[in-house]
Amino acid sequence: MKERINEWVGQQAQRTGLFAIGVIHPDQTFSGQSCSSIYPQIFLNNSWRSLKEMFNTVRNEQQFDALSLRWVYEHACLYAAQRMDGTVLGLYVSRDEQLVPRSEVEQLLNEFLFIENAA
Amino acid sequence: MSTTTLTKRRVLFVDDEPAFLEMLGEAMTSYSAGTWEVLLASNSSKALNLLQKGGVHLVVVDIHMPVVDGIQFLKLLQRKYPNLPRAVLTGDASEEHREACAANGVEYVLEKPRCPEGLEIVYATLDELAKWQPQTGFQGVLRQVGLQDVLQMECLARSTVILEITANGETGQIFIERGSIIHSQVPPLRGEEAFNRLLGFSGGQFNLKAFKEPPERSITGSWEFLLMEAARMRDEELSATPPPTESEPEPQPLEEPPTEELRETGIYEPPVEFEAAQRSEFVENRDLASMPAAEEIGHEDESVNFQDLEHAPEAHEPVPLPETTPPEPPHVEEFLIIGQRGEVAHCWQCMAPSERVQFIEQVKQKARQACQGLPVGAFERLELESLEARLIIRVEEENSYLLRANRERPGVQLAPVAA
Repeated sequence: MKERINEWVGQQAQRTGLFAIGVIHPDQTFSGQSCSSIYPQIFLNNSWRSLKEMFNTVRNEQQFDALSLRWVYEHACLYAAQRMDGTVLGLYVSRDEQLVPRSEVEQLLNEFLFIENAA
Repeated sequence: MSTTTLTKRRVLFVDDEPAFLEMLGEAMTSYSAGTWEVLLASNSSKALNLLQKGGVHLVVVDIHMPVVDGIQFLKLLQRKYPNLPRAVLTGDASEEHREACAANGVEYVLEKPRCPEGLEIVYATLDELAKWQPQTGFQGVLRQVGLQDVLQMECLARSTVILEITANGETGQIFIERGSIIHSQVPPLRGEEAFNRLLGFSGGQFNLKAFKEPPERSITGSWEFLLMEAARMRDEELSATPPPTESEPEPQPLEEPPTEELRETGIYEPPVEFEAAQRSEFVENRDLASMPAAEEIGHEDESVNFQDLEHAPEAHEPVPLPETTPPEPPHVEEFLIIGQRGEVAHCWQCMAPSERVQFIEQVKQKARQACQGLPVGAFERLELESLEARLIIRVEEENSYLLRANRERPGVQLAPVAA
């Protein structure tokens, strides 16, 4: 499953407006790709780890079973989705809705959640 | 080809280190080969004097300066010269400073060079920035964005622009000066009459144009009141339209009215039916003197506003007769405002406010941690989606907000797969 997800992540990396994509697997290993030189890989792993922690926090402390998160920053959005098996996907995308329509990102998150079924 | 006819770009450097400033001036003059006029100021006061004379194309500011430091000076520039390109040249380009600069409209934070090659890079970057000139107009279609949204955005940003609207063969203008609406015209109307006429258009085109002095100042009221009044008038017009057809669904029962705070933050917009029925009362009862200043009102945003979530028409636009039963409006289940020091300023239906406050603090902290080293700028909000609900935490300078609503959204549904 891990390989299948990593393969899928690699396929998405060329999308327009995508700055970085990555996953953190249930065994805490990372896999991902920076799609922009200003999003160095060295900082991205920290991001993916934070996403995982936030999913845990909202579930355990806030009793909110989040399927997706959207962090909105001034210049970018950080999307995240968590599968039932605990794998977390993170995407840094442009805030330009014309470049990256939100519906497309949600579609991508949906694909991620359904990877197993599509295999 | 002669360059004598080209206008020199005036670039102002503000730095409190005289030796560095002098060296910088010489180097930039040399690199620019006569295309720049380099202006030097050793403090913000001298810089402001030079700016007041006009014609400056770019300001480059040091961060660490006595009395008024670079960040404060940038804040001042943001208000006084919002369209003037700015850059920072500093020996301390820390992440914290970069964020502060970004928050004040500065995208380029350059490190002070330590070698001649570095100076050349600085020159090349600044030269590109100095060449950039603000565009004089943008075009848009009101089908996607309401005119009132554009107005709110410009007023909240304290912009000084002319909003030109063309629709139904008519063209009119709304003059905005430092966030205040000062004049409106659409022949033969002027003043509030013209404003209401323009806001009554349900679709068309708009252009944001460079400001010039209007022929008169026909409007003095606050923009918030003007927008509400225009919306009220449109609602009245709508209520005079023919009765609904049989296919139109029954009006939704009125939700419990959200609090004033909910409205003022701008993160909740009530369903159209509620808005239409309650607006008059809302306007009449509202104490205008207690209305928040522009900065205090939450920024409008497409995704925080629940209108897009429910796919409902714009609250202030004519309500088209729906062909099918519209989705249920989201139901706000919880709302919380906390102040700068984490104190609960307002709490509505919160089961455990202190836990929520703690959670908001965690979110703020995590938002910083998650993007360390990445050029994402200031954190604005976190949206969490579950199958049943949506939770939004919005962070602003003064207050932070938490809103939980049920999730009624047609179309895209995030659904988990079985483990």
